[in-house]
Amino acid sequence: MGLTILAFLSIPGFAVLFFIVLRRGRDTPAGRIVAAIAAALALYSLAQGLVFILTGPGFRQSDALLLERASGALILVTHVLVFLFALNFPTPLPRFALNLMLVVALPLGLVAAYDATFTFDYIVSVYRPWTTIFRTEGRFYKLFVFGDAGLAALSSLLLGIRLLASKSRVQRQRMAVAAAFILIGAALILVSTGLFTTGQAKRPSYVFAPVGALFLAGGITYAFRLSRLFDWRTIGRTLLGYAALFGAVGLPSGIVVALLVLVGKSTSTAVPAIGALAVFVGAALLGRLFFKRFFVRLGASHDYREKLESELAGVDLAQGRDAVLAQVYELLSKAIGFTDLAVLIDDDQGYMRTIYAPTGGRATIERASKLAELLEKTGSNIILKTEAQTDPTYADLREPLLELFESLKAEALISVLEGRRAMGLFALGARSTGAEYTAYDYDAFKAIYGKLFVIAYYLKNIARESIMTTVDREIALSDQIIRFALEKVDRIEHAKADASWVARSARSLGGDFIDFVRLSSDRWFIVMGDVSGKGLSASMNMLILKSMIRTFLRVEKDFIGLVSRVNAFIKENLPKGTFFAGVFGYLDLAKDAFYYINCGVPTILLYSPSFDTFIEVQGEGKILGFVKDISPFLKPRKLLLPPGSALVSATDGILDSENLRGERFGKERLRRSVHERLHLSSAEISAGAMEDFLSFTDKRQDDDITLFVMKLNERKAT
Amino acid sequence: MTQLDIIVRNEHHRLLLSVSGPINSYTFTDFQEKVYKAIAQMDTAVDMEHVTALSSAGIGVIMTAMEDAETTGHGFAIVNPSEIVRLAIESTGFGDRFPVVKTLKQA
Repeated sequence: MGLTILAFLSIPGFAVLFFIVLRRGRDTPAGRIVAAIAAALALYSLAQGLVFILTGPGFRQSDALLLERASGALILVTHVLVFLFALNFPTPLPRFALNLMLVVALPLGLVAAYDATFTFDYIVSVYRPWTTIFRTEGRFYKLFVFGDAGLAALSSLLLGIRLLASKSRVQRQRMAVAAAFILIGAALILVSTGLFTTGQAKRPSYVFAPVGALFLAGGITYAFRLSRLFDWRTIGRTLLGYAALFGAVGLPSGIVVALLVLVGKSTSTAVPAIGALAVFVGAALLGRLFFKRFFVRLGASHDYREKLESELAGVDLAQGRDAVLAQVYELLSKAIGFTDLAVLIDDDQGYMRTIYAPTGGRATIERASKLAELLEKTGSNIILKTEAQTDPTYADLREPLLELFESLKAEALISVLEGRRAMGLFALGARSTGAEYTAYDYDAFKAIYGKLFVIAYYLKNIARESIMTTVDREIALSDQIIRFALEKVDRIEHAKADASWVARSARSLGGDFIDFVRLSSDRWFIVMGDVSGKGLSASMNMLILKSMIRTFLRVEKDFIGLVSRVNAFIKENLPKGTFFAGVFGYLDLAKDAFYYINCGVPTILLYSPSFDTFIEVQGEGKILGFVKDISPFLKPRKLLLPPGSALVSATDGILDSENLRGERFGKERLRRSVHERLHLSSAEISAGAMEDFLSFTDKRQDDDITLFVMKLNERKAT
Repeated sequence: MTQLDIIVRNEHHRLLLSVSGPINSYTFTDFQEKVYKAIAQMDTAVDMEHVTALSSAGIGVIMTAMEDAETTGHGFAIVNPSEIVRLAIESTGFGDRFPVVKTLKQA
C-alpha cells in the first residue's frame, strides 16, 4: 500500500479543518464554502485511497473505476467551490456580480461533475497490475484537468484583482495568502494526478495528491482565519538568522566533514565517523551560541516588549492616580509609537467609563451590553482592529465594536479582567508611522497584560480621588485595603470546626493576608501568608495577589497547578523582589482532612488530643516568586484532623519578633500560649496569644503578623 | 539595637556595604536604596555579620539585588551573614541559591 496511506491519513486533517472553520465561520458565506471545500477534499482523499484497494485482486474493477471518476468529479467540485470562495472572500461581491458568476459556474460545474462520474469522457478504465495504478483517459480528460487548473488560476486572479482594490492591509494580506495557497495547492493536485499525461498513463505520484489537497484546504482555512498582520520584521529576521547560521556554522561544518571523508578514504573510516560526530556536536553548540547572539543584535533596535514590561513594572503607584496614568501613557506611547490612548475603568455602577484620554477618544460601555460581554469573553483579552474587521468571532457585533474603536481612536483594545468581569480597558491608538499592529505587537500586549492588570486594579479599587487628597494618604489607603481584604472572606462556619484569626500590620501598612474561599458546604480553600515588602506597595501587592488567587481558583482545578500559577504571576507581574511566604490549603471537613502546600510559612502546628501535645507539620516549604517554575518544588501534604485537635499557623512576624532583651518570641512561646487556652474558643485563643505576644514585645511590633487557629469540635454522643 | 547603620566603602573596584542593626519595616528602605545604588554601579558585597533582624522586605531587597546583578553583569555577594540572616535566607527554601560567602576574599 505504501504511500497510499497518505490519502487516509489526510482525512482527519480535513475533518479538523472542517470543524475549525464551522466553529468560527459558519455564519459567513466564505466560511461555509471553506468548510465545503474541506469536506469535498476529505471525500476525494477517501476515494483515492479506496481506488488503490479496489484495484487489487478480489474486488470489482467497476467499483474502482466509479471511485476514480468520482474523485475527479470531487476535484472539479472543489475548484468550483474555490472559485465561489474567491467571489465571497473576504467579503461577498455585490449581489448582481455574484449572481452572474453563480449562473455560469454552478451549472457548468454540476454538468461536468456528472459527466466525469457517469460517462467515459474523463476516465475509461483503471487497473493496477502490481503497485502502480494505470488508467485510460477519456477524450475530454485534458479538458477536465485544464478546466480545474483554469478555475484555480481564475480564482487566484480574482483574489489578486480584489486585493489591489482593497484599502485594508490585513484584507490584502488575507487575499494574497489565499491566492498563493490556491495556486500552489491546485498545482500540486493537478501535477500529481497526471496533468501532463494523456491516453493510458501511469500515475506514479498520485499518492501526493491528497497532500496537495490538504495544503490547499489548510491554506484557505488559514487565510480565512487570519486576522493579524504578519510581522515581516520577525519573519525576515528569522530567515536572515537561519541563512547566517548556515553560512557561518552549517557550511563550514559541512566542508570539514567532507574533508574528513576524503581523509578517511586513505586512512580509516573511523576518522570521518568520529570526526563528523565531533563536528556535529561542536557545530550544534556553536550554532546555538551564534543564533542567540545574532538574534539579540538583530532585534535590539526594534523590539520593545521586554523593556516596556520592565518599565511598566517599575511604575510607582504611590505617586497618585494622575501621575500614574501620565507615566503609563508616556511609557506606552514611547515604546509603541502611538499618540492616542484611552483608559476605561468599571465604576461599579453599571458602566465602564473613560477616566483618561489625553487626546480626546472617549466612550462609555454599559456593563449589561453585549459589547461588554464580548470584551469579557475574548479569549486573550486583546482585540486588534484588524481582527474586529475580519475575524468571524466578531461577526455579530462587528458594527458596535468598530464604532467603539472609532470613538476611542483605537487600533487595539486590551480588556483587563478580574475573574470573568472586565474591570478596565486600555485602548491604544494608531501608530504615528501609519503601520498597523502586527502579530509581534499582539504578543507584546499579551506580555504586558499582567502589568496593565496591576495598574487597572489600582485605578479601580484604590486610586479614588477622595482618598488621594487626604494628608496621610498612604496610611489611610492601606487601612482601607486591609479592612477590605479582611472583610471579603468566606468565614469557616461549620458544626465540626471553630476557626478564627488575628492579623495586625506594623505601621498600619502591611502585606500579610489570610483568605478563605468556600467551595462547598464542607470544603474551604485557605491561603495565609506574607507578601514581602512594607507600606503601600506591600498592601497593593497583597490585594492584587488575593484577587488573582481567587481568579485562578475558578479556572485551575489542580492544586499544584494553582500554586504554580500564583508563583508565575508574582514572578512575572509583581515588582522585582516580591515574594509570598505562606501556606495554601484545602480544608475538607467531610473527610476531616486538611490538604496543604507549604510555601514558606514558618510554622503549622497540629495539636493532638491523644498525646496532649503540638506537632510541627509544616515540613519544608519554598517561597513563591523566587523561581520561574515552582512546580518541581511543591509537595502537597495531607493532615487528618480528629475531633479535639487544633490547627495553628503563624507568619514570621510573630515568631521572629524580639523583646527588649533581644529574645525571639518563637514557636515554643506560641505553642504554650495556645495550649493554655485550648479550652476556650478559637477567637479567644488567638486574641489571648496576641496579648501574650504584645506583652512579650512590650507592645512593640516591627513586622506584620497573622495567626490562624482552628479547633476541631468534639463529636457529641448520639 | 534599633537603628540600622550602613557603611559603604570602595575596596579594590568593589563596593562593600557593612550593615549593622535590624533590617525591618522601619529600616529596610535605607538598606534598599544603598544596595540598589551600589549594584547599579559595580560589583557589590554586603557584609551582614552584624545584622540583628532580616524581615521579608529585606529578603526582597536581596532578591532584587541578585536579579539586578544578573542584568547588569555585576557581582553580588552576601558576606559572613549572622545567624539571624542565615535563618531568614534558609526560610525561603532556596538558601542554596543565595550568593553567601564566609569571607570577603571569596566574594
